[in-house]
Amino acid sequence: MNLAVVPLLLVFAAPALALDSDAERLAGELAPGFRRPLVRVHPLLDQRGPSQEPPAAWSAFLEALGARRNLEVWAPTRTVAQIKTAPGYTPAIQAGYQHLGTGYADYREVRLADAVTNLRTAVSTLVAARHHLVDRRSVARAQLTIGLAQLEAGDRVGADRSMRAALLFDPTLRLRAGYDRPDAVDALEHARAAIGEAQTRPREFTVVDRSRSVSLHGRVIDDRLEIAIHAAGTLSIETQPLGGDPAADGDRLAARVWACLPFGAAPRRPGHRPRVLVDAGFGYHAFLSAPVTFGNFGLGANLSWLVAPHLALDAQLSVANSGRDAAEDLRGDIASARAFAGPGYSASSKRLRGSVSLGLEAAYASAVVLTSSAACKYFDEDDHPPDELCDHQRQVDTGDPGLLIGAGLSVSGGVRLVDQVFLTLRVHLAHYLFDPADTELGLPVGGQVALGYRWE
Amino acid sequence: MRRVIALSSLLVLGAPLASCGPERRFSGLWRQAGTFGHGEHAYELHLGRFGDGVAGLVVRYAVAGDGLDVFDPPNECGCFYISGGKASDDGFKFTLFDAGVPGQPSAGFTWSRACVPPGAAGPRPAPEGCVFDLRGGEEALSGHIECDEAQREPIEFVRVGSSTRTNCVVP
Repeated sequence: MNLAVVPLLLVFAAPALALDSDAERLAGELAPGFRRPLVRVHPLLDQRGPSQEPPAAWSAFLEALGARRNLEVWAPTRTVAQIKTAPGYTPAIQAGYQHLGTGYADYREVRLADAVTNLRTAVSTLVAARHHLVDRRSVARAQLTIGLAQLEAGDRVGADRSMRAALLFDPTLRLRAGYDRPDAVDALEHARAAIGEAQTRPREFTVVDRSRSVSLHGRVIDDRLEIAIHAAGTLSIETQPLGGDPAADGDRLAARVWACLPFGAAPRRPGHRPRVLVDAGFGYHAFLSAPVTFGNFGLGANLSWLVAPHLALDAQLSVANSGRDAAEDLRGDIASARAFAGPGYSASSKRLRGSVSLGLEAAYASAVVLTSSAACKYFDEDDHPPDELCDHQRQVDTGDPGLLIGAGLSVSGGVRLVDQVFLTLRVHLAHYLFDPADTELGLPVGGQVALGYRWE
Repeated sequence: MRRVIALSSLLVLGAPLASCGPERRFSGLWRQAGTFGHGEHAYELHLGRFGDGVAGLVVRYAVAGDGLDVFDPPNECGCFYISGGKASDDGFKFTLFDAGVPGQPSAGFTWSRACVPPGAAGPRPAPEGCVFDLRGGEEALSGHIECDEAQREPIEFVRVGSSTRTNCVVP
């Protein structure tokens, strides 16, 4: 290629290659059906000490973040409501509170080791169900009781660790001087001071959430607001000093958090998931162009592979054995096997599906033995009836087994019974173009009732 | 939902049973009903019905005496092919095959001793050409046998089984 072309290509291709920033994309129009990332914001953890009102910057942050059109932001109340309705939440809570009750009883009755064990089980169960984000006080109180039991048992190190954990669940937790044991009150206040000095972060600020969801956890400590951002298996923290204009502080923090979040994705194109429907059942068919009309009963299996929207590749295999016509002109059973393959149109709704397929059909049929003479039907050749009544050589027509090939048409309709189990009714007909053995069997028309399963 | 699945399974499994069989009414073994005097004949019909056609054999027995089994094989006195049998919903009609051999049901036929009445010089004549015209149901038939215009006799049969003979060799 001539190198002189390269600059020309760059000139013309550059506009197409230009990448917009997220801010420019947000300023523009979002495509209809744009997939906005779901951002769950959890309740604020206030580590400033005694109970205080949440800083105004927190509300401003929530408002500013919610104003980003590319995000679907769930406020803390909605996030908590979602936690409470999550599958498995209620059974976990019931189990957790059962251990909690047992643990408190153990503590009251000074079974300290049992109390620690049961309360730890209760706390871990409740935290696994994220109940500590719903009811901080209950979980913190249980964790504190673990510390009190450890303290009474003489485990001061364990008690300090448990009390710090309790304060990270609920920083407003307190013991009452003059009512609770003085050493317990001292231990809790010592733990509080240690957290404040070390500015210990709660677990949401240190443990990465490996789920694919996007979640935000906020805490206010001293004079700053911190946001832990869990997105795509990563954890990052944004900090905003407080003290200025709350609205400006919230907006600045929202801007930085927003920059850490996924922007969203273009609308998903209507995709196609390949599906395979396999069914099997009983079938009946008759050869309309045979010298006599008789039924054929058999078994059939069908495979329909939906390779593209409305395009199916169908394959069918069936075996059958003939019955007899009313006059029993047909003197022997005809065994037949049929194979069909071809593309077809397929359509389906929630419960119904249907398809029409046109393809190649090949069939094998055993020999056809026919006579219209009642005497030939009654007497075997070995009975030697008078020739005037039955001449087996002349009056009994014995054909050859043969292969038939032609075009087939299959029309089926099904209803979904449960899960992916379908009941299918299928009508099938064929026109044989190739019958070298001259079986005289043509135009098979029949139906099938089948049960099947659909895989996606 | 379980009910839907059960009904669907019934539909799938029941499909093979929803078939129509061939028409075989009147097929089987029939024996003439009534009382028979010594020297009379009794007939046994071995019938096969195929649509509107009827084929089979008529076996004639010579009645040896009261109180004896009329349809005992030693009493057999002629075996005749059915010809031109036609059936309808309520009955059928056929002719005994005329083999073209005077006095015999078929060529090379050998009369049994039962066919030669005591004191008679020869066997009883074969009833070829006789017409049986019978009506009835699953268990009984009634009608007449007509061997010539002047000889038209009422006759009745009862079903005794479904196993029939398909040749005239005495079993």
